[in-house]
Amino acid sequence: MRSERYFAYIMIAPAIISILILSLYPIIQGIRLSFFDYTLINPFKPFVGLENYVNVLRDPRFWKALYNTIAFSILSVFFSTLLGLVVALLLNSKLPLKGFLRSLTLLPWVIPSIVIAYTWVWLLNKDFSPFNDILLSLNLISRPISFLGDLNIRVGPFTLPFISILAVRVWTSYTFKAINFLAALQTIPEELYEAATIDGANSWQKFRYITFPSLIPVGAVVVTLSLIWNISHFDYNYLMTKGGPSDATNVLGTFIYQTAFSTFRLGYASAIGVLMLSISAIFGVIYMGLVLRETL
Amino acid sequence: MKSKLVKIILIFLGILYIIYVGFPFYWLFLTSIKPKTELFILPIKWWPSKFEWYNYVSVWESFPLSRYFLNSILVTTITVILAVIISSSAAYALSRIRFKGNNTIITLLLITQMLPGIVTLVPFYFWMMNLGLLNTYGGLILAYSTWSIPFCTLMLRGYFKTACPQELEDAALIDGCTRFSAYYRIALPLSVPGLVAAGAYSFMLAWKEFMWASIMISSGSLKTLPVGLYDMIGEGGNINFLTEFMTASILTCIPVIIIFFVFQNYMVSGLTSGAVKG
Repeated sequence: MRSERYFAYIMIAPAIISILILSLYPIIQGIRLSFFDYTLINPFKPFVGLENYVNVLRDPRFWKALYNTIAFSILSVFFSTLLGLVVALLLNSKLPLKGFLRSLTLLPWVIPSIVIAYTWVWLLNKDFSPFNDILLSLNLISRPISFLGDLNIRVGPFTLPFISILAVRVWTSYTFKAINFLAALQTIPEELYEAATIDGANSWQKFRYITFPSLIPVGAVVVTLSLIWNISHFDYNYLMTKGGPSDATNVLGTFIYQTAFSTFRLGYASAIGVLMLSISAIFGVIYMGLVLRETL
Repeated sequence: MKSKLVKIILIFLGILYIIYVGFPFYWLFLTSIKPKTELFILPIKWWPSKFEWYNYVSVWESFPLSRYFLNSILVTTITVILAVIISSSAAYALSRIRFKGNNTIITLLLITQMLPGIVTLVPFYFWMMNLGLLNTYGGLILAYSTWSIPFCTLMLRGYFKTACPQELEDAALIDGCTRFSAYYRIALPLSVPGLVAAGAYSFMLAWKEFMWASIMISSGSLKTLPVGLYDMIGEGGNINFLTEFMTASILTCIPVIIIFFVFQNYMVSGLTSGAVKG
């Protein structure tokens, strides 16, 4: 039916036009900008080919930011998925106040990041931190620690500010995993467990052979999606430490922001953006592979 | 005996979990309600000597909080209306009508949903500048509704396909009802939960967004709540107006928390619809 088709195009037009103009066009512009020497101070914007890319790849700050981005992404996704799984199992068990606990789980997700970021900045300040108060009274430390500033305290290769930001990012991001795992847990038919009980399976075997396999499809989607989000993460690293001290928490997102809006080297910032986009694209392809067959 | 032990362990874990999630919120509230003289003293106070409710009055006087609220309410309301109308009509067409390009559009939506915002930030800024939309409500509303559309459309399409029976519309179409009234009079009223979830999603996005708003809004009278909150922070990362920041933060969170508690079941089903099949 032809009229049906025209109707469909009219209904879809506003969505597609706004996406093309406001999401895809800027991406193409960004890729174009990365080939120009574009700064706000310089009125001439000469085409420089790959020069921005060459300069980015020679910039030790870029490599530091890339390393941090990868480390943050892997660790944050790992710990938040693990925590999300444990919380989902807890919320799916026979626990009193489950409804309340589920609401509480979603709370960090609805609170603006600026509120969460500075609540944590205040919690982690040096002189009046409740954590320092506890550590001091337990005699675990002899003087207050600067959680967001002390680069001398390390766990393995990771500095204390890195670990503090990582902890906050896990605290806010396990929510999404927990809720998705919980939804998947609730679709597992009770009969499977009953049958396993009759066959004499213990709790670990039930988890290993019933619960865990049925969480894998959801887990794959959730992990891939979080990796994409984490690679472009900006909020907490910018709000809490501005990527500092000495770039210890600088990631690609904050590096782009500083390059573009503090030093106004826009072509250079765009080149970093394109490199970041290419890394995300790898996981994007995986995500599309996982989701597209279900969606179409 | 064994089940009792399991129950005790579970309750212990539950309490540990409440502390883990709740403690930062407790500290946020505690700081907002402390008398200012008890903020910077040692040993630190885990409980205030008295509740200084006046903090919640004085913040409205020392910062233009009512202005920020008005701006946020305006921007968020229009964003939600636009996002829901645009996404639901697109989702309806995608779920009911087979046409050329259907799959391409769905793929396009999935791709845009994943695009990192920070990559487009620079070109988006200049694009908005050329359109004359910097420092306007329109620049915020356009950005937020466009960013909501991919997720909302895909979610609503799933909703129309699974939860909204097509037979009713087919019968109405045979009786001479137009496609548009089938959508408007039958599908939409039957899909209120899905529409609520989509609306809540765009509400959250617009109410919480900080990065874009902080870059493009420079005039004080247009600032939304997250940007207004940022004014209470000092340059070096110290919170210059600690009490004001914490009280204003709590006031900012109240609307989202209310929306969240009223609609949480719809929102959870929307949030999980992307990842969970079935």
